[in-house]
Amino acid sequence: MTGSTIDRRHLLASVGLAGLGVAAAPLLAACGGSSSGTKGTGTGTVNLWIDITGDANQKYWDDSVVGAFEKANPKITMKTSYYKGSDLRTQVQTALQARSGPDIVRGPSATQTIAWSKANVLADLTPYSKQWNWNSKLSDWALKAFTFNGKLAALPMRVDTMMIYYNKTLFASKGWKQPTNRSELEALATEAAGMGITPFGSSNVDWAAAAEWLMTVFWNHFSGPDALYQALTGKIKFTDSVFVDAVALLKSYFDKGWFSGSVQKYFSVPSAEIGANFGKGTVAMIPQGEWYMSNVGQFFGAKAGNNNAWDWMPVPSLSSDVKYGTYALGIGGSFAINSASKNQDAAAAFLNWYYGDRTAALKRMADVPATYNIPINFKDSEIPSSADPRAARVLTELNKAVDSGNYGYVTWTWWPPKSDTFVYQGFEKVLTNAMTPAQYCQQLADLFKQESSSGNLPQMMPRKS
Amino acid sequence: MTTVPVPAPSRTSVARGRARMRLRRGLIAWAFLVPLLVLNVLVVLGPSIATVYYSFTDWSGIGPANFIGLDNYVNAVKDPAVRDALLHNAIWFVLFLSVPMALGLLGAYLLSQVKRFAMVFRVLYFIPYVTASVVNAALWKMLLSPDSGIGHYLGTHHAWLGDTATSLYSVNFVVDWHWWGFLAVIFFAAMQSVDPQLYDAAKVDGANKWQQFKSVTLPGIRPTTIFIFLMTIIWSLKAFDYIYIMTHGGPAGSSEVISTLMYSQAFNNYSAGYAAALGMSMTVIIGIVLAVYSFLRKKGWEE
Amino acid sequence: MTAVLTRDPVSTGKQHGTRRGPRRAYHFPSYLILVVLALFAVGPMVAMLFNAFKSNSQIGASPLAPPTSLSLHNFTTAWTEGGFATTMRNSVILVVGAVIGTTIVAGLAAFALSHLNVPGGGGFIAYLFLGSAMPVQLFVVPLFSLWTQLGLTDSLFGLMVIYWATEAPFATLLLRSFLLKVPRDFVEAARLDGASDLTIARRVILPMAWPGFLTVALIVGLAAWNEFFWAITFIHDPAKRPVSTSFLAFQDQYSTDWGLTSAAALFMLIPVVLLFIALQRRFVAGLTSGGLK
Repeated sequence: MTGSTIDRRHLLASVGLAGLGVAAAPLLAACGGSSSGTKGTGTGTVNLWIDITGDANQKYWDDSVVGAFEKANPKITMKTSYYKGSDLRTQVQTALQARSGPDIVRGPSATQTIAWSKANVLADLTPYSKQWNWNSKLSDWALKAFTFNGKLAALPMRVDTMMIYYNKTLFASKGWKQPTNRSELEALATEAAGMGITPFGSSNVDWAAAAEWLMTVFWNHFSGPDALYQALTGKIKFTDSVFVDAVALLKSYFDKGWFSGSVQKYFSVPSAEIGANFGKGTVAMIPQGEWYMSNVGQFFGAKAGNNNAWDWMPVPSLSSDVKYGTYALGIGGSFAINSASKNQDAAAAFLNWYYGDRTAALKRMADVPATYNIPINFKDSEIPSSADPRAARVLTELNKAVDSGNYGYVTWTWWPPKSDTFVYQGFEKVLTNAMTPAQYCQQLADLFKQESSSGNLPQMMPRKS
Repeated sequence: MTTVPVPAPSRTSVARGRARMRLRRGLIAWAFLVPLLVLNVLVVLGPSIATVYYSFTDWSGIGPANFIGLDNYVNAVKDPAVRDALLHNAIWFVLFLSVPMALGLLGAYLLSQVKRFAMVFRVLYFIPYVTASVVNAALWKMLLSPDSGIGHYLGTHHAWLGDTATSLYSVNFVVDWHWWGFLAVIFFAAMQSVDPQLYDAAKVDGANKWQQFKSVTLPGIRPTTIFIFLMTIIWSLKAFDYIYIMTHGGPAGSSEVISTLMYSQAFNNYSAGYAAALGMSMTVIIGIVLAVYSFLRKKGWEE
Repeated sequence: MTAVLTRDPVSTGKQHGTRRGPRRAYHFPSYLILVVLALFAVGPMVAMLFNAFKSNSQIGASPLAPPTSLSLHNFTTAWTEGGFATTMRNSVILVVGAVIGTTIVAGLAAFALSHLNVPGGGGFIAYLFLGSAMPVQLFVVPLFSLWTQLGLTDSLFGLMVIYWATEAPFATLLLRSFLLKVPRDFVEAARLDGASDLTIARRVILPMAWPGFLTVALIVGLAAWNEFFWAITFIHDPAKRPVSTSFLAFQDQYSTDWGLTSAAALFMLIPVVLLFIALQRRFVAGLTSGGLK
């Protein structure tokens, strides 16, 4: 008699249990725990997700990187999936959390790799490093940046620095010289603006974090690397006036309309348009990273409809404390192995070839500007002559900077993750006058203190005294 | 219900028999809902329960999650970014509910007046709706660019998406553009089924076009209007794709709505637990909106 | 009456032309507004159409002008580089699967909610409304974890199931309002004849309500074709990617190749438009005969 009622209650109860059970599964998966990956046999298929866009670039990767590796290691097959940079990190992170995803993880910059490492989703590369003696092949500072709690979590993917690209033909035609200090830079900018030429081209439309490039430039070349080192190691705070003034200086350039013409245009003009104007000569300079070198060429020359050429120069020193020829330094991106990968040895074999085969590595650096600049140890004389001289100069200048100690710190490598996000998110508010430079630095300092006390800082590259 | 001849039953056994029938019918009815229910539990409810759990933790989006009680919710209440996002949601809601419907009714009404080319217009109006959001967003991002977009041809260099004052309204404009044609086509067909004699009667009473619209057309399409209204409410609360692609919620959070804020907190700020709390809050708000709506309906709004 | 350019005082809702001839002049303002609205609706698409035929330097020079020559270069390049042959096939599979699955699931549920006495049905309907309004970005990570454990990632079927779950609530509500129109007498008569509920569904409801099913099929199919958020999260194997990813292939953080992107957009758009033109009468009739009860 009450049989049916119990049935219905059972039905509802079992639905509820099913729901809980189904919900529990992802929770259990999310509770971290040990990796379920295996070393594998050192052969088979290795999956890789990477943010290389553009048909030509992808063909190069397929033929000259993957192709060359597979020829040297015929038992391993690489399978590459291509993504847009802004999507890749979230996709990879979601997959890692679910204990799936590619065997080789193209990870974010060092500071964000800490978070992944702490979550145990990346395999410990220390055994491989010992086995293949990576310490002798890669730059010490780059490896240390990815070593947490004694474990090597990832390998540094690309050496990053900031510089200023300029329209060489335009400069020549106006008789402009490369500025080496702040007054020269400001005089140049004023003159350009007076002629209706936009001094600096920049936009955050296609890369939301673009502001951190600019802050990197100003903090390194106005506040100076020594001050930054002290702040990053906790000896002074980010609220120190040397940092606040840097923010204020950058803001003042924006307010003068020197960046893309106005703050609003910085927020809405696509980088392709800025590039096109740069090629045409209506934008004089673009402060950008070395990675831009593999893309800037498309805006110059016959195919782009002009007769102009580009070149790059070091960022002028914006204060008397900073030497000219200082380069902010860091690592953009990393290669790691998924701790849930079932083929870790084979993945490691790829990494070993990528970093270990110097001839192949140097050839890549010569073929494609910037993209393949890995922090391996090499002499200037080893750079192939086929390299574009502008690209080769990046390599030689950075070698010099590291040797002489004239290097600084880029935010996306040396700042802890949440602080790094704040650098560009908060700066938008400074630009729209919703926050003063002092408030910005105060919030940054607070966030930094929080993160450093929870141990979320990478190992700093030390100063050379 | 079928009547089964039962020999002289007692009252209780009749009642019990009926009850059993009702239960069986109820179960059979629910059996038809099982596929939908299973799918829903698997894809929506299950992960949502996980999200509820995460909202009480300090989960960064990757790795372990530690219980922190109501901290996320408390912070959400204090967070000015949340307040701004809710305000933007409200503005969005009002605009999205009014502009497409007004345009849709206008277009539909005019279409019902003309004899030729109705089909052509219908197809043209529908095209923005059938275009993928990624396509529309990319297209309008180009069209709204200050120096080379439409503005350039109209003589203005205003940065629609770059000005904090206009960013939200500009994206809303694009979404309204995407949606109104769909409504126009639906309203048009609904208007077709309005009895023409009612119009004649109204004309005899001396009504002009506007009065006819108000007294004949609008009541005649009321069920469709109600349905469209509800659909629009549901759609407005989603509003993610376009904002995410066109402005990322910027500049400086001026076009941020709760769904984009949630996403940004989860994936850019490593505060997935906080994002989960925001999501739960949003669900509660939606629930309240829908409850108010159904309350108003019961109060005689429809009949 | 004189042809004054004011609102036509003699307007009707009548469908077929009893009012042709000299009165046509009165409709001019209506036509004008309709044309303006049409330009508003498709103007941007026209810009995109133009750009598909121009090279990038031409687009850079004059983004909104018509092409001087009709070069098909962008189309051929976009087709091969975007892998449209693969992705379109995948999307067609997705669409067909999503439509079939959703109509079955929603059809069953809608039948129950309209013709059977479902205890607690009102609450369930409210729950469906709530569910279809929630922001789905909320639970992508737990869902991805679950799908990984069930082995449903990187599979068109797995994505299809997600579409069933996300589209079925709205489809159910829509179908329910159609099914409510099927007269109860028919259903009662069939029941009196001893037909089971399932038979009733098949023999009575379906033949009468199939325009509603077509409408739902079109809405669900459209959603499955255009969807990209779930697609890029759950499908990583390039061989299984749907057409929306082909569209995104030509944009990166330094530039958007507008020529290729416009051509890709047209590839995505034209099949849908053609389908709609072919089926528009049915589709629209279906949508309007469903008000919400």
